[in-house]
Amino acid sequence: MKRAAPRSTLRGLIKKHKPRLRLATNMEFLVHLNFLLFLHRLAEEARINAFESKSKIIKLEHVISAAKITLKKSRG
Amino acid sequence: MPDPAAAPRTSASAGLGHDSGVSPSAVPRRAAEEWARPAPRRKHLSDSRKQKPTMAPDLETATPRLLLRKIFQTQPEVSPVVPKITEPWEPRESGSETHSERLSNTSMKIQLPDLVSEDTAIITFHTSRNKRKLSISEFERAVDKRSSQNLAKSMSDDKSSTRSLQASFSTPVPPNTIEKRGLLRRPKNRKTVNVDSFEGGVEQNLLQIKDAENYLVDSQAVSMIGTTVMMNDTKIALNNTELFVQPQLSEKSQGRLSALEPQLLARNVLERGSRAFNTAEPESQKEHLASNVDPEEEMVPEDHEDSALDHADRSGPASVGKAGSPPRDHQDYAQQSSYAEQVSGLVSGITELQSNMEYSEKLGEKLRKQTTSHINEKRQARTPVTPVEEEVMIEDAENQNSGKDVVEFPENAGARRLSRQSSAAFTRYSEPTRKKSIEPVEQTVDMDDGAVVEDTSELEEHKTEEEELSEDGAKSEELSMEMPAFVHAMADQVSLSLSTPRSLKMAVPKLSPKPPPAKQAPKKNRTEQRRKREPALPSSLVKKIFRHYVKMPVARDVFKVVEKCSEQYFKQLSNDLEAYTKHAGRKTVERADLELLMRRQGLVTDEMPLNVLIERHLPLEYRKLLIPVATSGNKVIPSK
Repeated sequence: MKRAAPRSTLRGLIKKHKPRLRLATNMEFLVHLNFLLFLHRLAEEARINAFESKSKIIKLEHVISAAKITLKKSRG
Repeated sequence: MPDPAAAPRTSASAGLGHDSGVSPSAVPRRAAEEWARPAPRRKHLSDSRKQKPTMAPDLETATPRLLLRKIFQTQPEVSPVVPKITEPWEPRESGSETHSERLSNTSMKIQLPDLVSEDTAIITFHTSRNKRKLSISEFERAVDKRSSQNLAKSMSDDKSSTRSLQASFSTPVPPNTIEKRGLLRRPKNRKTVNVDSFEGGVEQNLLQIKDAENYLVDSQAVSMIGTTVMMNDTKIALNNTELFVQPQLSEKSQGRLSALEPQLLARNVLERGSRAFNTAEPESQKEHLASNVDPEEEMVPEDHEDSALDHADRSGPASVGKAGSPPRDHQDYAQQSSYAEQVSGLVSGITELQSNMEYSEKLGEKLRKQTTSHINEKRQARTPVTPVEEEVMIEDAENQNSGKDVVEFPENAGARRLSRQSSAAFTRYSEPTRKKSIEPVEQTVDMDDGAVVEDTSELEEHKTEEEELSEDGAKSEELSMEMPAFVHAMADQVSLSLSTPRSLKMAVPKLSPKPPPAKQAPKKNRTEQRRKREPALPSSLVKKIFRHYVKMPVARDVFKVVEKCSEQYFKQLSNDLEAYTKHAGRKTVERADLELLMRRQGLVTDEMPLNVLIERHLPLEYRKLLIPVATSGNKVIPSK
């Protein structure tokens, strides 16, 4: 049960970082898609880390190391 | 009179199509009334009626006849009105109905002719007094017709037709009016806003804000001043926003500034500030507002003065506050004065930034923080000093959270080199002091030497909180690289767009809730800050999505890291998108830019096109918007 993509929030977020940048119509969904895939990758990495440390719960250190890798990957 | 016998009668009449919710006790009463109402009208029938009841004495005790008779005797007769043909029909009909249904045929027959004769002689209603014998079936048919006609009009509950007719007969107004009254709406008293008075009020508020700089930030003040302060280029930003500043103020302030120049130039900011700036504050601040079109270079010396003034202003209370705690501040004060020169480099840059700031106390607070950070770093007598400093800072911070944020952000946003470096250092210092963590301060200071900070928030998030992440170093480099672009973007913003100040404003207040002293900030500021907080994804959404993707139990503190990660991600995303759009010579991010981004991220490959990803991860409604679908008839959805 996914929630709707927060279109205005996404627009505001981009505007906050890049005020002069404009977004075409319906581009928020692609941004949302990108964000979903980013979280997806982050979750996968975290899951792998937790599995490697033989823990059944995702812990902070798993996520942190996963975040480093994922952010580097998503730099484009 | 009313008795159970009346009840079945009324229910019988209800069989015609009315009366479902009538209480049994009310029914007899109503029946009696209904009988009573048509009865008086039928003057001509009175004779027959009086005669009739005697005809069937063997019927139940409370027969309609008897009731009618009694009513006749007691109630005054109403002259029959002939408004419509149908109306006289119905009460009689309904009454006759009930009679017919419940009473014996003989009695009904006796009475029916009277009613029917009237019904049939519509035109000669008031004249005809002839009794005609009609069959019951004929009568009932007529009754049915009339009742159906009256159903639409009738508003009563049980015996609706009779009631409405009766109402129309005797009191034509009440039921309708009652219902209409229910539908009537209260007159809407709307006061149109008087624009002049509104603007006047806004000006007054601004003036009040200027007067009360040292104290709580007024909400309007924050918004107004935020807009003024938040401008990327401090001076220029201020120029555009001062709609309400009186030009006289600028002259005054300038005069005062010139008077104070020599003092300021001496850079004994702290000491001077306490004296001179408590008076010069309002002017200096007003001057900031008033200074319109001065180019940056010209403003620089003024800025120094102003900033020094502001510095002094803000540091004034700070120094005063510090002086207030002599045992602690001995070192500090001496240090501060001695550090005045050391800080001068920073101050010059900071003053430029601070010239934008409206709130002296906040600057002073920052200055104190700076000095304390200086002290912390350079003196290594940290432990005794910093807690003291922090306490003092906390006190001020509590009062000036919003202003602090306002101050910090323009500092970061400043595009000047001095301000850049100083702001970078400043923010770095302020951040850690705010966070009350000394070690991270050192680290961040060491790390970010020379790196320019784009956002204090960034610093906060990544330097102080994510020190563990080795990406801090990388980030600082990235930030420094991105800074020129960012700076250019800021420098380009000569004309203030609402979005810029709003975004800046929103970015800045975000900083305020972070430090612990913010807890004690006035509620108004907190709510304002929350309102003006930059747009951030709802954490619940992020949690939900992450949890869905991870499919495993997650510790609670993990979500904070995920949130920070997503914020950093959005920063990267916006930077990348801007780079791609600029490369394409456009100003609007298009689908191709996003596709290129995803390709570079490795999400879109030759095997995995974008549309497949869209179809996989986005809900159907969005897919329809994003992927054009061709339908029959040469139609494409969405239509271009």
